[in-house]
Amino acid sequence: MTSWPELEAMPNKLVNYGVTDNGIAIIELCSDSDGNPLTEGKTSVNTYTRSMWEDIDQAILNARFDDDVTVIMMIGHGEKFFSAGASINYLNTLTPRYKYFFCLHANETLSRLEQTPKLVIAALNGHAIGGGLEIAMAADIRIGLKDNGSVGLPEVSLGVLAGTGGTARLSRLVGKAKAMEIMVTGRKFSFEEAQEMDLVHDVYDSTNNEEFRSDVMDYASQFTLPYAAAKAIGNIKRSVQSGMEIPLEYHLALERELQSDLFQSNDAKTGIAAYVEKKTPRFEGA
Amino acid sequence: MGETEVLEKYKPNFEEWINQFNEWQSRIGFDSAWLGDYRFEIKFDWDSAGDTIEFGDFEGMPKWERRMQIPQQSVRDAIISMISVQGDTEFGSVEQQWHLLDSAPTEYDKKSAMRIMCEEQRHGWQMAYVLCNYFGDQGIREAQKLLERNSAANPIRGESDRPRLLGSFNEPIDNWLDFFCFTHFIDRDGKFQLKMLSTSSFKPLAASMGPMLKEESFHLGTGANGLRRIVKQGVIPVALLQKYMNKWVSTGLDLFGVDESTSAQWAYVYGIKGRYDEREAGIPADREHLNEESRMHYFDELAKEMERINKGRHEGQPELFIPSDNFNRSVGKFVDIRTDVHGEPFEGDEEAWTQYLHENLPNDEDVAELNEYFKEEWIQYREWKD
Ligand SMILES: [Fe+2]
Ligand SMILES: [Fe+2]
Repeated sequence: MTSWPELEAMPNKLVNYGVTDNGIAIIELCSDSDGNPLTEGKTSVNTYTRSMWEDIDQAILNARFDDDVTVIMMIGHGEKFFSAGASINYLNTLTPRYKYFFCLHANETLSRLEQTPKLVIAALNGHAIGGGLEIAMAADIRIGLKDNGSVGLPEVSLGVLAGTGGTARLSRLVGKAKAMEIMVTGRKFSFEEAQEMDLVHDVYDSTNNEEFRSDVMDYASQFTLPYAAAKAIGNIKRSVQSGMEIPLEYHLALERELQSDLFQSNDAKTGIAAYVEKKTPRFEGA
Repeated sequence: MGETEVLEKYKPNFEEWINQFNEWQSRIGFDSAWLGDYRFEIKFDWDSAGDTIEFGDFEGMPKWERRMQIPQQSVRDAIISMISVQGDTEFGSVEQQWHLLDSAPTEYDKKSAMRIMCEEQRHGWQMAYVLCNYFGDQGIREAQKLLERNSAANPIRGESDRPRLLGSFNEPIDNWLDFFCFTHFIDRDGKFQLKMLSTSSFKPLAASMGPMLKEESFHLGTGANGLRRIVKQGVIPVALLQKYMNKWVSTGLDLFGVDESTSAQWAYVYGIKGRYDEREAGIPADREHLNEESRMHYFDELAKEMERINKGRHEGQPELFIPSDNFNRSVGKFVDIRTDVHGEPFEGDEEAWTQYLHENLPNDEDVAELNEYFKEEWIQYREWKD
């Protein structure tokens, strides 16, 4: 029963960050509909601007370098949204060249998330639309709160495409045919439907947002030390994330290397010894 | 014993399970009219469930109240399988027993059997509820499977029906002597299982056990009482009764599982299933011999119960006895070792052994003889009081 940590605002005040006692780093997106820091009376829609990406980027690096952190959890502030994606008003002020660099930076940041050998969970406490879903798709596990949001990539209605990894990741996650249909129609759909196509891993029927937060926290806790072999989880992630993009022969080679890395770890010794002695293992992540 | 919480509202996935349950009832031959005004309820006794994990590797941590709090997948899987097996036995026994209602010796016995079958179904509900409510899709699937299996002993079986998970729940309960033996020996085993789960690290499971144990005591009471009344009546010869004891005791002992069981050990390590006397034991558990230990407790209790049953016997009649725990075993280290009912090594060839079993376990002639006795007043009369 892990409790939620004190979160602190990152420099641009668009992301709140904190780490639980058992090593779960929370990255909470927090902004109003224009992508500005939240002020009294405004609802959190958690849209992003370049400033939010700077905060996200920094938070990912913090979690990456923090040896105590084994799991990263992304969530939206407030009741209704995980994230509504890029702030349209903000985008409207940018030159095409600036927009290009804006997208590039967002892409690089999500790559960082994807390449960090720590499990990333997107807790979809509300709508994950457009760029919001694109962030979630760079996570390893997605969990939705029942009847409290939808997903979709509606960029087509603005005459553009989901350009922060949307077309690339959605087609990899749900297959070409399904991805096409979702993106050319731009339709929004429920977490349940998303679960049917394995886009969302689980939908929790927690009674409210607060309970959902505690449920996903409990879920995430099973991947933390000392009960989970966090290093092995990290290597599994590395093998799946990078391996899927290279030919099978190379993937198998990568897998062997990652396995050999684990064979040399204390955790493998601990895990195997505990099994033989009929104890539950206590891992150290190395 | 604390206060019992009776749930008033269910989530849709359990409502859906209830629909499947209703189909199960008619498929396996249980007429829902037999329920009378009995209503299935989900009951928890949270106070007796305990707040802190009582034994095993997680001792001292708060008990788990939701699936997500369970620290490892292997632990979760073990809990699900434990609940599924328990639920499987509950429905299995109804499939074995319902056909006896028509031939009940007295109104009292008919009503007792009816009540037992209602309560077994409630126990099945309780286990299915815990699966559906706490274990997501995996739990819902397991709860459905409880309704897809059908005891091999049920006279009504479909072609594709898979049997119940444990041997005793596929054994035919052919007549009312079998019924009393089953409730006395097998429901008593059930009591042991429930007691062992009552200290579980998974709180909803532990909290289910209080109300179930209360009901279960009526079941084994019915068995013990039935056997006492048969002995008192003195119509069925003790020698014939003894054969039924021999049959059901060995079955009951087998139910405790293999010796040096690793799954019992894991269940203990995970804090899921304790010793029969976990809260009173006062000494560390012998983790490698958990099944053996509970089996011994059970065996001791059988001996004590048998003394009480014997008290009513007619003058000059021999005493009924509990056969050796080595006799006729299908599980454990005595599987391949032949002993007589007193536990002495059996000397003799294959043929002699077959003959010995024929003489000491109910055979076809015994069943025919028994059916003749059933035409008489073979059991002491008892009035049903509401
Ligand atoms: Fe029962
Ligand atoms: Fe029972």
